[in-house]
Amino acid sequence: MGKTMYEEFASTPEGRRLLNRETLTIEVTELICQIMQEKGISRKQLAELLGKSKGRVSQMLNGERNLTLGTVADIFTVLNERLAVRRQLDPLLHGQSGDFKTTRMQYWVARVKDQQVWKYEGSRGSSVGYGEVAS
Amino acid sequence: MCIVKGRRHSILFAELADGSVPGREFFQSLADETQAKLLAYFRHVADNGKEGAFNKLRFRREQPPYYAFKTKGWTESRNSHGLIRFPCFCHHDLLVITHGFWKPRQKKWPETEYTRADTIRQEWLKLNTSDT
Repeated sequence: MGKTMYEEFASTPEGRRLLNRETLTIEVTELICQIMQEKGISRKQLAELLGKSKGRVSQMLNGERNLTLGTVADIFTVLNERLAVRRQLDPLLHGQSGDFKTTRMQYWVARVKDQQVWKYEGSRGSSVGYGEVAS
Repeated sequence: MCIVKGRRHSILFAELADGSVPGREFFQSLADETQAKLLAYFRHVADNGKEGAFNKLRFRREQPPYYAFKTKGWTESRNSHGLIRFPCFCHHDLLVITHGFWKPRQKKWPETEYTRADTIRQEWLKLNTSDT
């Protein structure tokens, strides 16, 4: 079976670098958007909470503007949540066989609430930390 | 022309009877960084489904039956940033991208883009569902 366009793009070091950048951005911004939707918070309200303009928040969420780690922490703080991060083998290098498509992307970066224990168990191992994994 | 296979969807560019693939042709005219942005979001939607795409700045429902992948991109031919749209429709577990275009700023989609999406969708459906 032929490679998909995604796999072709990821087959070069430069393609893998670009995809990993974008994938991390998407994982973080999707979690932020999910929390905003669950809590009924608009982009305008998030901008007010952060003391930034709505346009700036839109730029951050659509990946146009690079998010610093400090800004990410600030966003989760004003949303009364915290972001936990864990390491894993690069699926673009280690998971290109058939099981790549079953990778649970939503757990690569876990959203947690403060002061509770959480445990991640997945096809690529398990880890334990503080905070509760949100569904 | 399969772009990505995920847990929830396979995403592909519509191929027409004459062998042309309008979405791919537009996609390949974009800078590598813009292609990576789109591919990473295609992967996200393929794995998490349309319902798992929370960022309306990246993917949203448009005039039925269409959804659209959205991003901003830079192009050498225009020498500027612009708004990019890739209309797509759902067929079983497939998300089929009809084509791509530069959207005018501060304006809704030109009606001609819906017409183009309709034309490509109908041709693709005719080619791919006639024997089922």
